[in-house]
Amino acid sequence: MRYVTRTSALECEDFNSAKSRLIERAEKFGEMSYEARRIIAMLSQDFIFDGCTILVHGFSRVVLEVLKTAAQNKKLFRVFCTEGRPDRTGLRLSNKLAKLDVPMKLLIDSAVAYTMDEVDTVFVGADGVVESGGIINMMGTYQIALVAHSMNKPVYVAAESYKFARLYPLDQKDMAPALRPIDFGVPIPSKVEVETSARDYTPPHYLTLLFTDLGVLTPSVVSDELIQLYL
Amino acid sequence: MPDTQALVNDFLNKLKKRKIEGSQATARQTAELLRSVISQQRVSYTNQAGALIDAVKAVGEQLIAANPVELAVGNIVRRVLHIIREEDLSLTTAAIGGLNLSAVSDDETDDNRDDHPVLSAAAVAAAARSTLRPPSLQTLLEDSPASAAIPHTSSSGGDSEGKSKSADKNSKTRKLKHDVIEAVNELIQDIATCHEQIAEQAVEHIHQNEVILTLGSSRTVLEFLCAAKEKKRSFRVFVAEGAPRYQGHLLAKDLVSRGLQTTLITDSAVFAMISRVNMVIVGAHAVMANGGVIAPVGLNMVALAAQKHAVPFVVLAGSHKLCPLYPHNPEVLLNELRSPSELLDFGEFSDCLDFGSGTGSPLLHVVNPTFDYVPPKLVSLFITDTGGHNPSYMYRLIADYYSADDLVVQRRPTAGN
Repeated sequence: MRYVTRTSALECEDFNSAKSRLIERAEKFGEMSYEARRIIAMLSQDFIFDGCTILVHGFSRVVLEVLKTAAQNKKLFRVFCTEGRPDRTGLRLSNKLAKLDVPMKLLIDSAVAYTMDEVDTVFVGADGVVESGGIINMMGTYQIALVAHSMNKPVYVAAESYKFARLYPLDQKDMAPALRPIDFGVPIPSKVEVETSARDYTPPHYLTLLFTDLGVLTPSVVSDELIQLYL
Repeated sequence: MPDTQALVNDFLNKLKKRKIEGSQATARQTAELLRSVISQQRVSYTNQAGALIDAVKAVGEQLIAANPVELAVGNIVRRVLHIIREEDLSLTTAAIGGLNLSAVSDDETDDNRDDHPVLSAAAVAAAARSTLRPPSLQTLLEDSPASAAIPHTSSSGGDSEGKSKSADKNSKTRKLKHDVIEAVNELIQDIATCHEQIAEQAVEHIHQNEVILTLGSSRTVLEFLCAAKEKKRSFRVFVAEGAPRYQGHLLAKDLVSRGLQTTLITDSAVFAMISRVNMVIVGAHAVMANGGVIAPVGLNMVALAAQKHAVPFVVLAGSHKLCPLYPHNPEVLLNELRSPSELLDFGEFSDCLDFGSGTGSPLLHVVNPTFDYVPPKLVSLFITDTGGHNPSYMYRLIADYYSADDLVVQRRPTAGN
């Protein structure tokens, strides 16, 4: 969304034309991102094979599209879906997938390592793909990638190319954290501090491949593509 | 056309019966076949490149289907398609450079005005699309009108404007075909000379008194080692025999005949010997886009042993072995099982392999895979005809050699088969 508003270079002619320009931009952008998701879904089909188990984390429209296309292609696969505390994104995803008759299993976020030996591939979306080839995504992606890496499972990222951002985070705290309230269900004493960051950074080392509308990329290709995009 | 069809069928048969050994021979023959397909293709006046591309694609799909494991075939088909696109592009930009130029510059100013403060999503997406669709060259040309202007002026100097349109087109199409055939010839030449190009770099990598380990036999490796020997380097080579085909024996023989100090070891002795080795140098069957290697069976084990002892694992590969696909499940999908006769003597083992006894299936199973997949993280260096590269750099070479269009179009039929 920030892309739509940021683009339009509203040179203050009059309000209505600026508004129509914005809407036009937004529609174009929506169309584009839809097209991108379609391409990504197509590219990633080869990587979903019959009988595989896929672990997903967080709600991502791209990942949903990938799984939807796979289901439409009559692939037989199973999806493990994390709960996605605190905003329950996993529940949203599982609702959508259940409608497609894909076998689903919900996990609590802390059961990832427990179930990893049954998992064949990990699929995640991304909020942003940074210059190093790492991704910024919903809290918990980093630890899933770590677990998957230690058990030799591939981690695939599905992300449209407009998510490429010119950032180079050096560690988790490097970016201004997006905060998000967490409901613990019970009152928390005021002296207790709560970690409310909504996203974490997964270094490229733990990612196997990125599926983008530019094609299938290894994490090291990302910086190259970024330079071309922003040239 | 009939005689090309016969040629194609002949080649298809050879591929299906696995009569052609080695990716270099396959690559060369594919390129030669495609050259004759192109030269036989009738010239139509409009959309010449399209017709050529369709013809090459039609043949290419058959060839890939004939032996999907021999990736060199697909590579060469894609290379030829890329050549046609590039040549067509350079001709069209030359011919209608003027028109294009004004249109492009219009677009550009429009875009520039739009994304004044920050880079716009639309611009990003436009760039994304243009990198996705046409070959990179076009984006280059679009981005710099100055470079587009140069071919334009030169071409207008060549073709006088008084000429009729059809004559102009005719010369253009003939020129396209000519250029394409010329470029394919160059490609064949490249494939033929890739050994020498790679061997030239040998002295940079092999030093005095080093111990080199290799497995099986590869002509590239032989040339590479001999080139270092010719430059007065003295070193020792350990050759693992490469069961079950024992091509290492042949390599050892060749090395000795060229005066190299050679030690022959069994495949199972690799780990025992690796601590004495300075560098592992091997050939490859194919190199995938992520830097993974499809190599003769046993090499993954060697690579793991090398990693354990921090010995550099160097892969020699001509550019025809570069495959623009990403491997998924390569151990199974990009592998081939050969005859068990290479492992066992049927006479001696006929009892165990008897289908008639008991359950109807033999108790003894023989699995004889041809290839191993070596993941990119185990490879230290690739040496190709253009120099030494990191595994993570492979995609860059691939972007140079192939156009993005062909990957997707070609992949469908291969996946379907």
